[in-house]
Amino acid sequence: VQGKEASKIMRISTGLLIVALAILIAVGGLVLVQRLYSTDQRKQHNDVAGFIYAVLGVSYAVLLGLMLIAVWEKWNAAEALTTDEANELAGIFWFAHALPQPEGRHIQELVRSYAQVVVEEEWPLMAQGRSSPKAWDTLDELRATILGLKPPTDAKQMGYDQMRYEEILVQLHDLGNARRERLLAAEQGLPPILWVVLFLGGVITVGFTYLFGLNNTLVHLLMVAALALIISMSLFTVAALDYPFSGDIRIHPSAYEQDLERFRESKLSDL
Amino acid sequence: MLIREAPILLWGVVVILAAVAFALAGQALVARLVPMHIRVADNTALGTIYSALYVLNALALAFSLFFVGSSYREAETTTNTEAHTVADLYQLADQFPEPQRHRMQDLCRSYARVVAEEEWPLLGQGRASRGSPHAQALADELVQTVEDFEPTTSTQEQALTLVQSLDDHRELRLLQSHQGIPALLWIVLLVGGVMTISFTFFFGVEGSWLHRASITALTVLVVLILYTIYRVEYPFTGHIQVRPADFEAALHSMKGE
Repeated sequence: VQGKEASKIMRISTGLLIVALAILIAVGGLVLVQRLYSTDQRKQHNDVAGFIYAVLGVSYAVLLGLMLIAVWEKWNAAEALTTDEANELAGIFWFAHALPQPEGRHIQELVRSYAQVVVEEEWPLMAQGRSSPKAWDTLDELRATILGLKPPTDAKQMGYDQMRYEEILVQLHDLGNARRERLLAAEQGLPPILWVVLFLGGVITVGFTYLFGLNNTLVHLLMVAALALIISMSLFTVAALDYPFSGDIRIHPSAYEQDLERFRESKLSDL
Repeated sequence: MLIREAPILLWGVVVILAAVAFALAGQALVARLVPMHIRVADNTALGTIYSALYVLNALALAFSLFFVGSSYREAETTTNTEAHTVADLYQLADQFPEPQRHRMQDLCRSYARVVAEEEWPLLGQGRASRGSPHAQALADELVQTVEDFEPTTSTQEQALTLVQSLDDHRELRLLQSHQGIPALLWIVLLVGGVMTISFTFFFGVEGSWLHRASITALTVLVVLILYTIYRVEYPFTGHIQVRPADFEAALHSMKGE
């Protein structure tokens, strides 16, 4: 459910709405405070409020700045994961060509249908933080087929076949890992408690500025609007990059599509 | 994309001058609209609020520059490894019987040449960039030639590992060629930069040349960092880029034999 909500939030239009709303509320809040307490009343405490705000504002700014960078790293890592997975998939495909038939052919079929299921079925599901059961089944069958291969017995070919066999096992293992990490990246965002901190922190950072008394109300309003704009925009960016497979801005399955194209054209294909 | 191809110094100067001009114009406008005595009275409170904004922006800018720089170094390493792998494969081909030896050596040479000459200009052109189809075809054929051969010695088996490593590093290079800063983060950086600079217009400074000088200094620094991030963002595009020198060196060593 959380993923489904997330994919809705990550629309660009929703982002614009959130930013506009944040600015409106922030400015409205200041107007309200201005009505209730006169500027002169608030001005007396500017010094002390300033000391406290310096700590508060800077702490929040550091937190938000680091979050922006952290989710960007997560985004890049997720993109690298899809390339890894597609690479392992292609590696297994090429290796399978040298295997005795019909197992080799069967493995190539499974690899191809796995890539297809990922592109066509799993990608839309990942936007909602889910995975495709069919992709799991295909991977299980691929694993069973590879593990069921007869160990090489011909003494002359032993060394090489042994190496080929071990290599394909390593790739199978890496494929499974990349897949698991990809699904994890799709469904797991920042822990909710961190979102509470980020959101409340933003509200407090903007709200605290109401306590200052400025002679020029227009300048005060502008400052508050600017602060609300940059904070809400950063928060939206954190949310959008934190779910790299959902929303308008997301990673595309181009690595797998490329695999499928290579499988179609390759001379090593037995399909 | 257009600016990325343009001479780096010229555009840098143009961009910085334009930004400084805008900043000074903004300052002049605010100075006219908001009287000095009001601005001076608000300096302390404004400065405190400003701290939250500039810390957020400074962090985001500094880290973006840092990460763009480290991706650039990673791209260099990838290129270097890939080029060395091709050269190693060429050497290893000596251990193969004909016709594989000739076939592999031909493919290694053509691959290095096509990557350096044909593929390099295509790198990073658009997000879906897959490099040159010609280079991809040569790489695939190299993989196929090695995989198709039944090796009898352990040296020949090494070719299998090398060819996989070549494929991996090729994919990594293509990925790195279009991995830049996400568009949303760019918007945050740009809007944040504009805010950080325009906030300073509202300070009241007796002696307006001092105000103007500090605004100019801040603008130059912020724009310089943004411009550097922009130029280094895609490691295979524009004037600051990883050059195919490693592939040219590999090609040279392969021809030398």
